[in-house]
Amino acid sequence: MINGLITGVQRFSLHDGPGIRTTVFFKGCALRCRWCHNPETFAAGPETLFFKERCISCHRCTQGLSCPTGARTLSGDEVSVEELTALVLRDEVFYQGVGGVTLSGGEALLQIDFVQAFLKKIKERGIHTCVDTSLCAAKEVVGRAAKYTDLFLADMKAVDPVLFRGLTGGDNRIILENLSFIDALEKPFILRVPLLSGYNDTDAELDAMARLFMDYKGLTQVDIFPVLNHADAKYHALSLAPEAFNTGISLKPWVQSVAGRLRGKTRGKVRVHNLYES
Amino acid sequence: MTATRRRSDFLIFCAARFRRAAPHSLKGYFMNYFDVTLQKIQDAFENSLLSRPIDIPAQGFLTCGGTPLQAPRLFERPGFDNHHFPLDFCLVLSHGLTGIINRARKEREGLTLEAAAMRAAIAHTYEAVTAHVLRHSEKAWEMAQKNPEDAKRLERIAQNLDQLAHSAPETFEQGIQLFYLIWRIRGPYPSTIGRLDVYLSDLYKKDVPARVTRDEALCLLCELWEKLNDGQSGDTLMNLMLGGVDEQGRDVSTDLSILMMEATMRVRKSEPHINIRLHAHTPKAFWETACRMIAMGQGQGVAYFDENIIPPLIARGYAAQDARRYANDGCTEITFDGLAPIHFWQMEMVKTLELTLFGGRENPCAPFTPVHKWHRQRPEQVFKTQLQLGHMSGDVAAMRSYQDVYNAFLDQLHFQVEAFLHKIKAEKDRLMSGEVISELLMAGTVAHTLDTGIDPLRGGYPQTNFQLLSGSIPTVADALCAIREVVFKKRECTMQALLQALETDFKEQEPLRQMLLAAPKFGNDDDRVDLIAADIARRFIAQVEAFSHKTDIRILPGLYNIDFNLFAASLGATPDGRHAGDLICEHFSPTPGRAKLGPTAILQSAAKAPLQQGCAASPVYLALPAQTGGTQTEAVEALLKGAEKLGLPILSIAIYDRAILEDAVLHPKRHQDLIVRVWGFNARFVDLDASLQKHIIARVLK
Repeated sequence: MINGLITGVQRFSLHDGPGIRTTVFFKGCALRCRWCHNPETFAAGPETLFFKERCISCHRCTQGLSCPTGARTLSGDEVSVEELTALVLRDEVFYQGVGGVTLSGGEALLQIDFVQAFLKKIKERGIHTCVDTSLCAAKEVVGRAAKYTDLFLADMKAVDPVLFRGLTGGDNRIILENLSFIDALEKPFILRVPLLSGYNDTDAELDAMARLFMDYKGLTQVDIFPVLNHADAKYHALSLAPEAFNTGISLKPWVQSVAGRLRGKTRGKVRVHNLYES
Repeated sequence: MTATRRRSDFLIFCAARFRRAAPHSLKGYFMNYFDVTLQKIQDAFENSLLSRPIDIPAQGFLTCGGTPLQAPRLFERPGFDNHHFPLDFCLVLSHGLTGIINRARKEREGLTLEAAAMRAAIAHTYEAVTAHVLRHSEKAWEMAQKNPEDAKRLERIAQNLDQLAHSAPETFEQGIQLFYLIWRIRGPYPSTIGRLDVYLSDLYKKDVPARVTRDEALCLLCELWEKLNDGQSGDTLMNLMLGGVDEQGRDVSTDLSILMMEATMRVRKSEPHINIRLHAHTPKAFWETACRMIAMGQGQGVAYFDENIIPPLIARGYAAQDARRYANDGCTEITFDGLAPIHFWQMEMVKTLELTLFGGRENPCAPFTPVHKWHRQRPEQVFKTQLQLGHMSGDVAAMRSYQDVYNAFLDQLHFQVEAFLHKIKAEKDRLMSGEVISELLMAGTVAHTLDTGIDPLRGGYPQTNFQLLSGSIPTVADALCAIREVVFKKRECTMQALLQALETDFKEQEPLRQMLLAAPKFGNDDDRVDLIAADIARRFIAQVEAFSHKTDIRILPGLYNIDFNLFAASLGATPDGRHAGDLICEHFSPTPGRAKLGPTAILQSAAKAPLQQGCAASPVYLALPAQTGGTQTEAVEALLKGAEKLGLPILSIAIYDRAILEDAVLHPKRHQDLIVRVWGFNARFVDLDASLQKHIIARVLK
């Protein structure tokens, strides 16, 4: 059986689907979203992060010894389906038919063989499953995951293909096709809009989003939230330069106004949820 | 801290000399020890009533508050009542003052002179209480005549008091008034409240909604809640228990229970400290209100799970109907509502490890920093260990395996626990000897005492409640696990080098300290350390149990500590990487800052230990970050239900915004209304000693 490569498991996740959930972060992603909060998941293989501020200059690493403070850590753990299943089942008592397991990343669908086997295993236990995905994957791959997925969480980063490519480096035609595909499969899904001031909060973008939202039958909710620069330390640890977004604006009223505009544009037919204030 | 205290040598001398002397008349020349003490108790109580100012409030309906509530300073009265256990307010409210007097005065044959004197003194005491009530009523009538515009309110107060002076309470308002009266005159300082929703439920059902609207009842409760807040916040013993099962095992909660939670959410102050009992048949409305109250974030609403608490009590010989009447002490310890007093002792677990490592002595780098027990206005104190120094449990520096070190710790632990158990036994023998006589107000709430004159301590109460408590086991487990991983598995240093580092508080040993910190820590669902904690807990419980079996005293073990901030300030560096004086954990919770995987992992770690068997109180305390958002109430409910299924007996969930707490340390004036949960009580954060503020901030999960 193939193993998976993950960067971590977060227990007691409250924002990755309903109830109390355990979220698994998979390593590797096809996109390079400029604001990504998990840059350690970009590369598909294990890599070392160096957090300078945690280093106490003990020089153990230069002698080939382990780092006692976690300043130098390896990101990327290989796990088997059985190991990962045992880990997420530890909190089964808290799922209570509402919560469950969420696959996130990175892009879980890049490891579809593992993901399919893992999802199948937890579905056999009757546990609710979510896949948080960019949907930047082949339709056949999405279909294989959908078989064992109760709820998809997908991003709506931008509709305009040029803007999308500029923000993520990817092609959103595949994504929009996949959205229509899961909608046709009658799978429920939540769309999440990471707000980027000056990029995807224009009238043209919001209009285009609203049109799409109103077309989907399976769309249960749209979550909007502002991109925040929380992951700077991880960018530095990877020797990458973090980019700043949404600076110099008053976040709360801005997010509220975007929520209001989206609600207006969808004529109240779509549930727009302001995650920033929940 | 024990809840009892040795009386002066003089009294012990008197007791020895006069106990067996022939009883004479109460005021006779040859008054024996019993009579002298009884008279003293009676006089002291009566004088305390006479010295209280007549208190008719400018607003509201509750009177007889007297002076503002003082912080607990126990043992000022000559009789026994440590204020840590709830009185039988069901008896008080059903009998009324006159009912208690009549029952105590009722002719009984075959009583000893001592028993007869006890009953007469109780009757006399409750007559003094009646006179106190009448003084208030007189004043209220007088004020009503002088203030025609406020006459209606004042007359209502006077009528309530007249009713209470002549009979049992007839209305919900009179019931609250009688509770408040007895509770206030129990001492100049507060005491445990108990199951107030149960005491008042009959009067509530009678009145609401027939005579009183629900909203009026809520206003009355809010008035009571405000009155409970007229002294210091904090370790005031004002714990109130809501819901649970009745003596037959049926749900006992009512709309009044819910209303009391609503009053708590409306008043939003530290008093009273709310606790809730949950079980399989707790109504949905109770659950929902409780979760909303907990989600308010102040740590109000510590959850007690009946199914995980009652069966172990029954297994220890408590009758099922008595076990089902459990409530809690001024802190978290289990009490038996109106059925038993409480006497508890604390054993310091981390200091036990320190004595193991340093040959029966304390770590030379222990700082002995003076700290306030909790409130900044109380005097600072340097905590001196109550353990016995000098017991050698082996030369740890020379030990070659982890098992040897662990065995040395177990040997030290066994020695220290045994010493405490003998102390408790000696105290029980003293209480049974007749040297101590109960306070008469308390004695008058005990049915058997009213009928037989037998002191509550010596058979008046149907149950006893002796407890030996020791929390902080998780910090010890962290330390032992670090020794196993770093010294014996990875061989990063020798035991001797570790001890040297501990002696100097890790001076120039930061890499070693970091390695110790990086070893597995309790609270992360990691068997390597959790099973050590579970094993220590199991052995502690087993030793207490074994002692109970071989002697005539039932002692309940509890995995619980108050005063952990005092203990921490007198502890040197420990092998978990903790600096001298730094925080240790409370109860069976992780050491603050060490749990990295969230609350579910903490609960899983704790559930590996036999917490139910630590039936005096073995709680887990969680502090969630406030950013959990709109899903907060649902998350609280899921955590409570999960914890119950995992078998945990008691769970506290607080929700704090760490940034606000940090700001309150710097700018206390801006955060006067910030309420937090401490060890078994709620308090205003800004009132707390710096060590407790640090502890509370550090335990907020990230």
